[in-house]
Amino acid sequence: MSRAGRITRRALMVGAAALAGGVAFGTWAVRRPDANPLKDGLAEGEATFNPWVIVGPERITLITPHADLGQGATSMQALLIAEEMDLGMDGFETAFGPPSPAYWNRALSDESAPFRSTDRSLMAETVRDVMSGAIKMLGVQVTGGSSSVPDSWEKLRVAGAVARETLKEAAAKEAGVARADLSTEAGAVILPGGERRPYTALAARAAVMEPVTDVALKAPSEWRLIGTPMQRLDIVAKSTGTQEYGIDVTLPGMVHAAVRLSPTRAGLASYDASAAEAMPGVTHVLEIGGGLAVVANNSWTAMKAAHAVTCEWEAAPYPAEQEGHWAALSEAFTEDLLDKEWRHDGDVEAAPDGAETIEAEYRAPYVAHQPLEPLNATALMEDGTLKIWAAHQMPRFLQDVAAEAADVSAEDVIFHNVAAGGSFGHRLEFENIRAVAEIAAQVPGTPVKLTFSREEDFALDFPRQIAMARARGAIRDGRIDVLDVQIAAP
Amino acid sequence: MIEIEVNGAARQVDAPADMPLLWVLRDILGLTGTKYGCGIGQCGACTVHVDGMAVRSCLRPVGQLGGARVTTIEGLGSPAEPHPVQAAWIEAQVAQCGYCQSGQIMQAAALLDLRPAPSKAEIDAAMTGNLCRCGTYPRIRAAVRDAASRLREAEG
Repeated sequence: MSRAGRITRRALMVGAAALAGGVAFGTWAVRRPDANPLKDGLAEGEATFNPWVIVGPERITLITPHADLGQGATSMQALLIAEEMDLGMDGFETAFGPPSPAYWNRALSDESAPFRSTDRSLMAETVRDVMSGAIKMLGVQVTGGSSSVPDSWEKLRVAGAVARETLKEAAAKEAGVARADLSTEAGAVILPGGERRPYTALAARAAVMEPVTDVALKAPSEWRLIGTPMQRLDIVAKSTGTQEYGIDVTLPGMVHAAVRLSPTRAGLASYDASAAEAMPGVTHVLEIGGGLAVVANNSWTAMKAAHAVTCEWEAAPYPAEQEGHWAALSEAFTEDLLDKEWRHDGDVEAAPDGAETIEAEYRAPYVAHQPLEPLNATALMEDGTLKIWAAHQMPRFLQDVAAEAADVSAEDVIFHNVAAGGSFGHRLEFENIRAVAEIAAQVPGTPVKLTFSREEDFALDFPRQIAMARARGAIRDGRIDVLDVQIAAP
Repeated sequence: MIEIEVNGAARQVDAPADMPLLWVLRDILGLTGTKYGCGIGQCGACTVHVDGMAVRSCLRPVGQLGGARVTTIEGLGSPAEPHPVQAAWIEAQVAQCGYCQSGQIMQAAALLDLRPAPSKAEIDAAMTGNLCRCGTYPRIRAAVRDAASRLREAEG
């Protein structure tokens, strides 16, 4: 069996499903190898079909579930499929696809295992398989950790190859020739005489066929797209103001919300919203988890009103000022609090004769993520279903968070991912999602767009943690004789 | 009602006089190409042209703009017919997340109106107030220089 066949068995169940007038090529959510100790944990419905490629009579849509945060993930994912399908880069549309366990991220689980990615020993591979199984059970659809390319590299090319070979098979049946005598080019199957049969014209026939899953991937020498310079798919939109980001989502009848959430991450003791409520355009001041939300007829009024609420917050469960945080770290360099010792050899206490001793303390501060597009989300609660539009890196977890906040089941949360104006880790967080779900639940039937003010975005961010290092060393004759480095971090 | 001209069309806006132009464009006129980044004139994402000058729309109360001529990124050019600055941005593939680029492009276009052949120092001075969190600054500089030559060629 070909290399792709091995990949298919190991990591993917590739197949096809009929759609109205067309066909989708994709994967079933969960593999069930006999040796998998976790398979009994499968919930019903987890083996649902999720497409990577949808070929309809009018157009071809490629699903690119890794969120595009500016890193070009959409273009990269589409390119991998298009390479194997022999599509031109202008011969398809892209869509993020729904949250689904089928889009789990194997590469991230690989990196989480305690082995370097270059370690291919049996032990390392075994641990990775178990980790990967666990991640699939959890349905972790993650964009992060620079894992999008490693995660997509094989499975998207296999999906593209399955689509290509199945469409060729459809053309072979239609024309009464052998699949081996056909080739593909620019979104079409080429018959032996040179006649082109566009994929879109073959969709209906392919939909009722068994997909061809024993496929070979192209050799690198056959690549047309991979390894060649090309334009990002979104470059024209992003250069003409026509790219829609989360903050630009607009729904008919939509109202605008802003939040005032606890800067101390402790409770709201009391508040006076009378000034906010009196502002023209303000329709609601709502209590939500962590603070308040204001709903108004535009974002500016909502932000201004949220700022005008007088709030008494409970004291922070941590030192209120930065100095207190450094003091806590400074006091943590004790035997009792020693969590882990990476290396301990020789005697670092005794400075050798004639050595020059150097001591230094380093501090790495809190750093906010601060993408240029502040956190935002748009939601509509209607007939027990919560629809959310936002840019997020973990759509499956988002469903759980939103469901709990709005008191619906996760299956009733319909999530639409949209392009992000940067992330840098910020869109792994859920403050905006939790808040918009609560707001939408309190104004059912009305679409609401929540935009964090820059001030709220800073205050609510979970920053990169602080750390302090104390180093001591001794140098003799230009060589390091003693080196003692201790690090304290929360 | 406040009357302003936006992208060549006369618009009557029913908004409080102190509402910043940014939010009038985005939430009332539906022109979302102009971006909210900070609201205090520190990031440049909301840059538009008012009577040909680059301004931070988050700091311009609409009540002060009666009769003014406003151009946004949507009015500069379109996907089918990009402005030479936009064409240079596309050619250089400047954008990563792209969120700041409307403001960057409007700032660059205003600079090149005033200084058709800016020096590197003049480019840096004009563009320094426009933040890009992705760090596309080297490509922005290159695209501004390319746009300058495109504009000069267009003028023959």
